[in-house]
Amino acid sequence: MKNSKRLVLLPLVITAAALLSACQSASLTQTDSFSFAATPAVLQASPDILGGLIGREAVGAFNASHSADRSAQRAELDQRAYLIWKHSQNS
Amino acid sequence: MKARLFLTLGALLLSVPGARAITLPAVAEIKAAFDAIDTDHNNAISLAEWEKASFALFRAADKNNDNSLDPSELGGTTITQDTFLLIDEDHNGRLSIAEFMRLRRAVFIAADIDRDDSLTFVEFELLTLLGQTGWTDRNHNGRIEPSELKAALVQAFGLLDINHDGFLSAEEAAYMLVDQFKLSDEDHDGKLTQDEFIRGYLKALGAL
Repeated sequence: MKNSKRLVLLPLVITAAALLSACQSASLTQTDSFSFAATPAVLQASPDILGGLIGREAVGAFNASHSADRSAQRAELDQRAYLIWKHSQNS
Repeated sequence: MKARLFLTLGALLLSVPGARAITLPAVAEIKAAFDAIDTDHNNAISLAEWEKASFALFRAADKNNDNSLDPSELGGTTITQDTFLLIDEDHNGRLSIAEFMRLRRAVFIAADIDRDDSLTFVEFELLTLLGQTGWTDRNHNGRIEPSELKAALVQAFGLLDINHDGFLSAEEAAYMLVDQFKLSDEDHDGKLTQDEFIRGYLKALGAL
């Protein structure tokens, strides 16, 4: 009985999955093709896809923020090392 | 012989500080690019629309379909090559999609001058202009602050004023939307002083 139910449900699940997948790929294709169609117009106005001098300047900020992250990480590790050392002194 | 002379003159011109030549697209081309990215046609480019267009630009540039960009796929300006070296974090000589998209997001954030998480046409126009004339991020926060914008516009005005008469004619400002030109031209004499040029943009951005 259980097996017959499974046999009935299986094709339904497979069909539903196939439909969902088809819908998703259709929507992706539509979205992508829209963007790709826009590409020549965008390149015509801004051939430098890295943003020209704005891009070059903007990249400095995220390099600086990465460096700040690294400094914060280092400070945290130093603090941990200090606590371990202090703990070892006490024990 | 002639070609060599041109090259030499070009090299001399490039070596003179401030003599940088800029080639801006006409306003119709900037508008076409803006409309192409603004897929929901609400006159503003959201971050999602920007990223979708950026992804398409990556795919279009990735000629050999290896999911990364090498310098030859990006074209050859010095600025592009400089930026490439700065964003190639793992120094493997190629830009991954993540490295590329991180930069594109940084460009969006910089261009979003009024910080409303979208780009209006004026902000997009400024992105096109300042992308060629330059901007200095004095406080290194990745955003164009009002004082930085003014300084960048002074520099842009100097480069746009090709005949050095102290004014921008409609031809010299051909990249600019006609409405923006009219808004800036306070005395309606058909040309813009440096002050009018700067105030016009500040007005359009709601900063005046």
